[in-house]
Amino acid sequence: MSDRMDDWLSHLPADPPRPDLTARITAAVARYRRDRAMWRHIGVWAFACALAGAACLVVSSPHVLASLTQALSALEAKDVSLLLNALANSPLETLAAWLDSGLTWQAAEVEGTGIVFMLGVALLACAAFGELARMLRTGAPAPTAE
Amino acid sequence: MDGETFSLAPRIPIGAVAELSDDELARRALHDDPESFNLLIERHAHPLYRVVRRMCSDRAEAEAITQEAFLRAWQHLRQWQPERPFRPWLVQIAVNAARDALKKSSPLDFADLPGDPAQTLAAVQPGPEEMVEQLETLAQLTTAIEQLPVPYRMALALRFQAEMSYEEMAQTLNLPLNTVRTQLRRAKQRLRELLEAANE
Repeated sequence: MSDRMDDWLSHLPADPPRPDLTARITAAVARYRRDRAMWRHIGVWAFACALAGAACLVVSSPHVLASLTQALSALEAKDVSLLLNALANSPLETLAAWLDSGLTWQAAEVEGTGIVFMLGVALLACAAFGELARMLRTGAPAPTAE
Repeated sequence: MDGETFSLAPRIPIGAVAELSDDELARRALHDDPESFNLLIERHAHPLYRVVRRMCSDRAEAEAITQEAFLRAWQHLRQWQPERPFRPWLVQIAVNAARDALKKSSPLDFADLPGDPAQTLAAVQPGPEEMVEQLETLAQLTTAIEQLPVPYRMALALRFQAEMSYEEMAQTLNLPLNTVRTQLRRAKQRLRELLEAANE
């Protein structure tokens, strides 16, 4: 019985796969390869953006620090309670005035070294988005061989 | 493995590549040669499917596991040790993929019936009188296998579909040799019982 059982087990009827199984597997592996290559390129670009962004920040930091110090000292020179009172009395007008001041400061920053700072921030943001997308993508359940 | 568009493997004429051994193709694939890996897929997709099919009871699931096994093989090709034959390594990956898939789904599913047994029988039994009886037995056997616990089905698939030795099975299943022998013996014993019950 055992020999016959072995013989039967060796010749069990096969349930054939769909004819395109090989093609589908080949396509899936190729797709996986392309995806890996694409995400690797994104990783390289994110790294390059991060480096360039950091360099921009370093280059523009003296100017930005000086500008920030100026802004802070200007703020300190004003009485905070007056600012709060103005906000409480006419919030819309006060907020509009603050926004205007902020835009004026930003416009001043954009001229000269400030633009390098903005560029650095933008590059770092791009790098962060790219890397985050890559991490989320590769964080998906990855198959394990062993 | 990463998707490189260039190959670091030594250049060989296309016809000659097809004649390379599995291990040689795997080595070339290891050196970023996707075409060699595609040849491995061509060679092993159907045999591997047959092994996996015996472990699970659904054709679509078997196809998905086979595909997953090749994806894992490509992804982890650098973990393959060239001194170890490629085929048992691939089968081991398929076994692990099947284990993972069967954990998620119910292992017993009788919806999918086996294919045409007569096609296989033609190569096995020439006697026309025994033909009908054996056809029935094989159909019963196929159904009985699907009632076995997954470890028994894996043991049978590796032994009779992948044609592995006990040592290879032990290595693939990561079990002691004696455990593999015992599983196989018990699987066959259980099959006998199921066949007897079906014939009563």
